[in-house]
Amino acid sequence: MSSEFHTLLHQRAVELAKVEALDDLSEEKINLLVFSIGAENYGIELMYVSKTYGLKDLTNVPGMSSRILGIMNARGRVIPVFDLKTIFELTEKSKINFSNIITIEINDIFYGIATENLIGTYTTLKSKIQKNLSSVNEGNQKYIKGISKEDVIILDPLILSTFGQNEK
Amino acid sequence: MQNTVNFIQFSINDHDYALRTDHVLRVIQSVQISEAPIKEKGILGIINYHGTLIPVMDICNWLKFESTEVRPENFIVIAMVDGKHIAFVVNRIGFIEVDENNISNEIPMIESAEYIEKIITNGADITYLLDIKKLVTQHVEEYANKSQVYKATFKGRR
Repeated sequence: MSSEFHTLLHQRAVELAKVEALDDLSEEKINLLVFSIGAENYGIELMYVSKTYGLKDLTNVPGMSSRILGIMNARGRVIPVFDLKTIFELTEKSKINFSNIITIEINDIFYGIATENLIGTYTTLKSKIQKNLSSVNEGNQKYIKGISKEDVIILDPLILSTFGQNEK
Repeated sequence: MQNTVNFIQFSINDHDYALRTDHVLRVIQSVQISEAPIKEKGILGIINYHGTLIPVMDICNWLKFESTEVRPENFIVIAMVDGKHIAFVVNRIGFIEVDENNISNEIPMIESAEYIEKIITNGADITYLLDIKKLVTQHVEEYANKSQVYKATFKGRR
């Protein structure tokens, strides 16, 4: 393994070793699957996550909406995979290299979202989620439930499911 | 009304495994695994999880697969059973909600059947439910007894 990999694993180990303040067990928490696209971390509630796949499972289809990266077969269903960078207008800011797909299931709607890096599961206090999204572009606010105290942007899976249909 | 059970699903060596969500404390991106004070086959080393030292098991060894190097794209599942922590390295992660009718006690004759508690079926997909209690009871506790460092830290913390 390269020294670059060793350094990355070491940096993560140092972060993990930091002692956190114990949470109040009586407070309501939500479990998130956290991933990154560009410089931002996004989270989706774990209860809506079906499975994660590698990008190799994606099939490109010509003539599709620019909001849809492709389609994939997930558990016997053919589902669209959304390209979130078109929501959050990330294309100009940095080069995005998608590597994983998270499949989401909500109210019998199935879809996938492409991510750059899967970071892992994370538990955060519901009371610490910031709902004031004035710093977020008004058109994008509907896709966001809030921002956690760790600066994870928590996405709304139900509103996201309409993402592919909203292009004009 | 259907009774459903929630699981964290992950893959090891291209096979799908799962743990009940109440056994999983957290899933993290892979980190550097420090050498354990006592070298033991089946234990990769230890990690420091916010001040608690947790043994990282070589799950491939227990499941009769060839051990592989830990890479940055891997994940570490940190589980907790009866107040004891255990960690192991996996590949992809996910979350599944399973109808109880799709959980079977009939374990196929596979080499790693010893650590498989049940089988979850979803169409053609098969997921093996790991017997985490057996892994902890048979190996981690034995290992903890050999190492005073672990004994001091196995009190658990939530």
